[in-house]
Amino acid sequence: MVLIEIEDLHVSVAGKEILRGIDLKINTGEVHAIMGPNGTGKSTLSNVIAGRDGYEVTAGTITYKGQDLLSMESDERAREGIFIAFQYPVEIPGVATSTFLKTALNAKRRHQGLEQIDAVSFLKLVREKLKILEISEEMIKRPLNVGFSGGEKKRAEVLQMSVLEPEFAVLDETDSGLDIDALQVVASGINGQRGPKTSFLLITHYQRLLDFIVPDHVHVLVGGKILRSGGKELALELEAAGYSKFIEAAAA
Amino acid sequence: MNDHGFSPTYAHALGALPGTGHEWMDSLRQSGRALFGAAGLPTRSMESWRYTPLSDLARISFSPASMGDVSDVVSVPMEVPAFSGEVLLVFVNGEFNSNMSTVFEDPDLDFEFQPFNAASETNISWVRSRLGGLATPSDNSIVALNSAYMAGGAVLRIGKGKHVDKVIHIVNIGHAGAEPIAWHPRFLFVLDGYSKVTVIESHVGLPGQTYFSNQVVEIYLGPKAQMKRYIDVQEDLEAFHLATSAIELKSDSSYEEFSLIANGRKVRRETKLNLAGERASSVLNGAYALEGERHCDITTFVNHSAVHTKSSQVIKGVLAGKSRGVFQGHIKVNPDAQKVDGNQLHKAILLNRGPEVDCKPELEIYADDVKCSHGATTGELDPEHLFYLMSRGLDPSSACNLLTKGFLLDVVKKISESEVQHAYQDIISRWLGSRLEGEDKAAQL
Repeated sequence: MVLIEIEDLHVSVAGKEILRGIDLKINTGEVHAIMGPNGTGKSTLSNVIAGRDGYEVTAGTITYKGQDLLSMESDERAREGIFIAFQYPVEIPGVATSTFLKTALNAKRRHQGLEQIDAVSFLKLVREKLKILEISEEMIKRPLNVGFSGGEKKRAEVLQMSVLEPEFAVLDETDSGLDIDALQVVASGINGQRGPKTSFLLITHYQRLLDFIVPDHVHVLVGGKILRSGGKELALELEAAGYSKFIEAAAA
Repeated sequence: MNDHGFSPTYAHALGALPGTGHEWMDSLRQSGRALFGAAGLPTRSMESWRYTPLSDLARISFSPASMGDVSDVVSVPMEVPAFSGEVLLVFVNGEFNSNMSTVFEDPDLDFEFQPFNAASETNISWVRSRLGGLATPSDNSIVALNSAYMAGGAVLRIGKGKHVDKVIHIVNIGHAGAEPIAWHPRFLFVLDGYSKVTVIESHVGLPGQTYFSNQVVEIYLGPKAQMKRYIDVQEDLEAFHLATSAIELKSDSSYEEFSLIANGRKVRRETKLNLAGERASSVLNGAYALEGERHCDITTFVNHSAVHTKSSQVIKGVLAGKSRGVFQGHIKVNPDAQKVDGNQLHKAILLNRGPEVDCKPELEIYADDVKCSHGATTGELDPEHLFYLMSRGLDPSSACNLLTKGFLLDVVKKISESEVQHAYQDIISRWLGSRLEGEDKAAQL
């Protein structure tokens, strides 16, 4: 079943066209990877899906669960099951991570007509996930992302994802800046979410993450367009040969 | 100049004022009357009152509180936080209310206490020698007004070396029945050397007519004395709350204060603090949350007049509707006050277009080996923060509330007594909650 379909998406930022006609179809339960050199539009795609201001869609559509995603507000998209693990998560002093997470979970539950979760039950739920991601309880008492290292921020994003249980998760360069051990921890957090009801879009520069989270489909994004799509072998090919022939093809 | 509505009904009450006939009380009152009579209520043309005009107050004809009927005030309102093991001192319209207070029920009371009216009739030397010593009628006409008509309030003394382990909770309930009333309570705290006490002052109003509470508090901290003072202001919507605190710190003494202002039509809390002894230190923190047309003014003057003294101040405000916040913070370091560390920070968040914040920091430094800093920012909630919270499913109002709460909690967390921290967090949550409800109602219309 098609979960999300992007058709001929053109996006400009500050008057400059970054995405030049993206076509992408993701079914439920699938893991897709988008790879490409820096500055090529990878983050633009995740920001447009998130609904961030400053990204102008000049053409094309995004259909999510049959609905027009672009006409939905950011918070609505999240409650409908979309989650973005940002590349540079913002620090919010004064807002404890656990308080924020519980509020977000309850917002989703309210939307789904489910009962609100109380503090005690929430802590029980979160403990399991904390163990897998090697995050201490002390850390989530701290204000959101404040003083977290790059790696800790990435793990915190994955923790949020595992608590909110989205149907479609976009992970924007979640692997960048992580050493091999941290990478494995994050990967097991993500794999723990993997299932028939969840789809993933991994946006990454390096092939490394895909050793641990094996994708169903790989797409190469260069110059704002998807130049080639393939299976997991495509990632290995890129690892060996680099992006140069794609960059040349895009420039031509 | 006229007394702006105070003389007609007040003049005839003169004979009934506490302490009349005692020279030390009479001269203070006379001086107050003369100076207030000459100056009247402060106007915009006075530098310190530029941002807090009292023309609306001046238009109201207030009667003395003693003429009001408070027989229906029998219990402490729910909004007033409760603290474990607290000693309650309840004042209704400024006057001590023994029924609701618990202070006389405690056999182990380790401090001296007398309602102000009783104290002014006896001639206790420590009261006589100190009343009017730190806050004098010549300071400004508001203190003069209080000095002229002072009634109600209390005097408290903590003896040398005494550590009062129970929290002293002063609850001030305001209630105007049929007509606007005013009261001018006077508080005097004397902490002898090495003593220690925590005092909480709650100000709450019951709905009714408008009222004007004009309080003066004088605090003397002896060497090595420690005082923690927490103030929460939840006056009635239509109430005027003026409070003047004058504090003197002797060597090695410390004073920690936090004031939370969450309601009241017009609130001005003015503090004059003198770090008079070596190594004395003070913390003057606070938070205010305003909506509608509320007005809150925090004006402080911290005077470093001894070496190695420290002062610190962090005030945070959240404003909605068309409210008005004012912060005037003056730090003075005298020529001989070397090795001083003084800092001040005021941060305000405007939740919509409409509110206004006036901020006037002043550093007056005459010594050359000091560290002084100040900061003032006024802005809106960070759109990046709002977006992030919304990207996790929080609707705009909830996101705004969570960020606002976090912003204020940041300074509330500095309160060193955790029970007070939690109580003040609750007051803030309630304020935010009622805003959300108000927005929901408005959206449904």
